[in-house]
Amino acid sequence: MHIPEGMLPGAVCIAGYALTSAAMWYSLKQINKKEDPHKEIPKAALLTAAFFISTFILIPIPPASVHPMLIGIIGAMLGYFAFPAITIALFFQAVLFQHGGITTLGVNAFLFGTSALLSYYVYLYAARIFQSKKYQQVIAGFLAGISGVAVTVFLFYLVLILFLPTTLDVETEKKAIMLLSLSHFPIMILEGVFSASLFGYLSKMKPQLIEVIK
Amino acid sequence: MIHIHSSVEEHVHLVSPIHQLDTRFKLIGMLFLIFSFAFISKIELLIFSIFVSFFILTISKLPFRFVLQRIKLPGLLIFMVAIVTLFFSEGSAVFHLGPLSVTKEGIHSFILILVRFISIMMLMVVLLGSTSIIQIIKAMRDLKLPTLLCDMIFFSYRYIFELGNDLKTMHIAMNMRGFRSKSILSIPTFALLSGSLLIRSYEQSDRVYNAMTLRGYGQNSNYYKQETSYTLVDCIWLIILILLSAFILCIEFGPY
Repeated sequence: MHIPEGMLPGAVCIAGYALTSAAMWYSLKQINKKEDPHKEIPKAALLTAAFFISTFILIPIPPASVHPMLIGIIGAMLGYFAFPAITIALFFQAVLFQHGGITTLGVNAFLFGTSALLSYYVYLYAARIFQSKKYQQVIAGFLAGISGVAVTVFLFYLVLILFLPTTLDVETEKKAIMLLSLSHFPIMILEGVFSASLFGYLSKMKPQLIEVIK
Repeated sequence: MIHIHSSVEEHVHLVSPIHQLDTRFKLIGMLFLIFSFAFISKIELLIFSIFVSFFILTISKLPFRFVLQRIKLPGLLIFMVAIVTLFFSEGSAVFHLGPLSVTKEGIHSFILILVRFISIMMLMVVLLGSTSIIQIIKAMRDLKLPTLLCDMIFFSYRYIFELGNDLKTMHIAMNMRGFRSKSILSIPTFALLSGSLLIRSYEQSDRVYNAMTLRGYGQNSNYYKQETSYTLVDCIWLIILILLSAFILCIEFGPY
């Protein structure tokens, strides 16, 4: 789900970098408010690598296969570290495998990073609502996973359809964005199940890994 | 499972004017040119861009087959998008293919997307094929990227290989115990695999961090600073690349 090189006009690529810089500045500002910002770097870097590696975990959905996006999971586990983490992972994917691109890195990072930050808030809110419930982490993880995919997919098609150098009429554009976003509904549910299973497992085995970095 | 070094960095040790450039100058110059290509919408400039990319590729002495290898996969995706724009753009119809009509605007978009992609990708492959990832990260650090981001990039780069190897080992172990992933019912199993992988790597990363802290990590950010030098040739190359970018932007946005 990366926008590749050459697909978007230069002005949109520059605007993407401007938005990503602003979001990155805000995230780093929040991170630097912490007593020891360096302490969480290993965990953030680990999840950055996990986001990168996630493309290699192929879950069969005959006749094709999908890989977990991990956007909601990264948002829920890293908080404000999620934005730099996702930007770095996308940079490595563009550089090492040509997934996405350098000119479109700003746009891709903003789409994925914003979704991760929104998932972080969804996770915090859900965890607060289901506080002291047995399945608190499972439900919060499920919702974070779903919201991560939902927001990313919607923003992805919005950008793609609005800024592709084609001349589609407004009604067709609206329909295309809605239809393409809704077609990912099963993927959202699968990602939610994956996140819920992962959070359920981690809450039992290593709860400090899902203690969100506030 | 992951053979990153062998595929991306296999031609880093070639000797060419592009390989010998200072990484900081190469990075800035190439990015200027790549971004100027992204602004192109005129067909004449597309021809110029592909000529420039091909010229730089020839100077870099990178094998053309290597470039094709890197472009092949993302090229497939961009080709599908270009096909969609070819058939679904509004405008004056040039000819019809069954129920679909191909417009003049559609043909323009099709050529624009494909040629712009090839030009940018050729330069990207030259940049990445002539410079190791570590050199690029160091150059970004020298170009004043925030320390926290640089640290995260270095750590992540290391963990990519660690996690890749661990994932491969654990996957083989699962298969040897009889696991066969045939349907979506295996999602919880994959989640457990990912969880185990994260726990294993987290414990290791924690130990590495503690060892680094004991050696003074985080106490003094100046320890990164190194003596760096550049030559007149680096400066000339940077000026040429920036002038080329300026020329493209002037033609694109000028009254010509």
